[in-house]
Amino acid sequence: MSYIGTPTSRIDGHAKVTGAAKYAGEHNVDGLAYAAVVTSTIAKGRVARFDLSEALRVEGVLDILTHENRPPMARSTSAYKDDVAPEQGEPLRPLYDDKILFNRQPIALVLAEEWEIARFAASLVRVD
Amino acid sequence: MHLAQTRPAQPIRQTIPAPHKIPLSLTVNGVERKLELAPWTTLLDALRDHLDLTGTKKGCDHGQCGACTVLVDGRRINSCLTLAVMKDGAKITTIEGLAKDGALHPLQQAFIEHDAFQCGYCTSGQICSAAGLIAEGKAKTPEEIRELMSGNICRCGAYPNIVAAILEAMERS
Amino acid sequence: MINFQYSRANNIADAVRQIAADPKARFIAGGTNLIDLMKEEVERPSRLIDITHLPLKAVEETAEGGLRIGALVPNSDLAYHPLVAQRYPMLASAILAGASAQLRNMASTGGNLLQRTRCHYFYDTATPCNKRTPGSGCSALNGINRMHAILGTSDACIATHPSDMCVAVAALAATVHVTGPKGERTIAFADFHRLPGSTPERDTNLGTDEIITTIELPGKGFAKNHTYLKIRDRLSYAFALVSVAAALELDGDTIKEARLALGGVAHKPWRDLGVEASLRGQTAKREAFMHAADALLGGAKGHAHNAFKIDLARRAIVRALTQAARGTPQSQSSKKVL
Repeated sequence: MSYIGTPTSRIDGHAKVTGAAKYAGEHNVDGLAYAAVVTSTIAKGRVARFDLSEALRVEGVLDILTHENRPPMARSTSAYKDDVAPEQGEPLRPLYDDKILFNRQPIALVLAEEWEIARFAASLVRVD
Repeated sequence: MHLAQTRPAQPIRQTIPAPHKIPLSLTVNGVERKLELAPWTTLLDALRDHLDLTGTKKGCDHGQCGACTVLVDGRRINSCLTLAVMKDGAKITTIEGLAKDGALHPLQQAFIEHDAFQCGYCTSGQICSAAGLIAEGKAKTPEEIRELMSGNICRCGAYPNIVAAILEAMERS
Repeated sequence: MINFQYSRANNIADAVRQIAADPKARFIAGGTNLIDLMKEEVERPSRLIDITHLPLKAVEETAEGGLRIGALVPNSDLAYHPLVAQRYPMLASAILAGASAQLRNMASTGGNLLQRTRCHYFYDTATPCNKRTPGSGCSALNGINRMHAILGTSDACIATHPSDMCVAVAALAATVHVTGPKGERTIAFADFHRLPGSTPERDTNLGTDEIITTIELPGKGFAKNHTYLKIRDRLSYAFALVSVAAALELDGDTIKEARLALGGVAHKPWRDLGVEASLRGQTAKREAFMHAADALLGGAKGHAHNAFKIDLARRAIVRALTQAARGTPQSQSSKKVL
């Protein structure tokens, strides 16, 4: 084949150098919500309780997800297996339960109509 | 996602108001765009979220990676550390504005020819930064280009090709 | 980021009026440090007063043969200004050693003085920090303190001032002009930044209701024999482990005047007039430089991860004075240290 051994410009080159290439977070659609992550300030332990009352009072906040109200999630490791999952270890199960396993572990997700509102409301989330 | 299940019995009144929005005007890639934005909106978020110009990228959001580099009144800056309201009236050039009448800017052409990217996420910032560098006229050698491009990181490691592309575009301009 | 009000200052008097009216307000110019700190919620101003339209953008020669630099002159403009390149090349070199081109285009002269430490504990609102929250403790003292200070510290704070420009400005013995409700006053640069002592929450002696208007450089720029030597973990775009601004006025081999300031080692650029005075009349060679280094580093105290800075600073001072004496200043683009 004539492509082998000859320098060939990438087919995605034009899109990338003109800014036309869309990455995952760049599909603006109507009604798009934004999320800000609240992370733990300890490396190991448990979430004792949340106080979301002030954060929920921010205009534009849609909801706040924590392990207490998250959608159902699989527990077994095999449910998270894919082509790149390593043979050993545990997958990240965000908001799974109250256990803190590492510093800055995501513990709450603030959903809002605008990015900065989500971030601002996240700063009002209280955790013990 | 069953958000309805998470609402408490009594809905919480949202008594902390969203910030007051301020009207401003940005001339982006030659087109005047009128916006009303809260002061906390960065220029980067104004471009990406409010003007749907997603060519400029958010890498670190803290002025450390350079992916958000755009030209404001001809000078390269990190748009993530700039508030949109503070640039009221400014002329902004983003990656989307470098090509003219369908013809690629010499830098864009050189980046393709020198394979100066892999994933492409830093590329917009690299090209806008390089455009600013060429306009500044301070870099003449590869060493100087490297130093004056040090505000743009490339995790794919395309640096040698980036420098080569910039050198070529500089010689052409 | 918290919710804040935004307003513009129409003139200097208006700026002073606005800041005096609200102790939790902050001026914003380049924003390269303040917006970063606001995103981290370290700074939580009630109001940002946009001063970018104030007439503080000139670089002018003074009657005394010095230079007056407006507080809003961007760092890059200052570094590339013909008068600075020609008469104060050490200042230009120090500016170009710092940050990135984009940040230098945005950052203001006044803001460069007022930028805050990059101590990672200061930045992390989950950790105790006496600078952020007086009385809460200093996490760096018994924490990871590789980038921290070895001089002028207290048990309350071992943070460093991160600026390169300020080290050169200190060596050049500038004067800071400020305006407040009570009028104008000047602050000698050596007195502008504070040592942490028991009040690390205060970085500078600028009043909370004052604005920096200009920085004035005296006539002596040491354009013939100078250097700014910055030692850091990366070749570019990293803060100093140790940096040295060194300048000499020579008569043959004899030192007529010396300036020596250190960065990366203290809460402010580290300079000692006594050490500079002791160099006067000496022959510009290694022995004199080593004595000066030892004297300037007298009292240096290392912590668990930064004791290496003491010897590094010693060697950097000797190298810098040697470069200055030879008239071979460190290039900021060629990374070879001659």
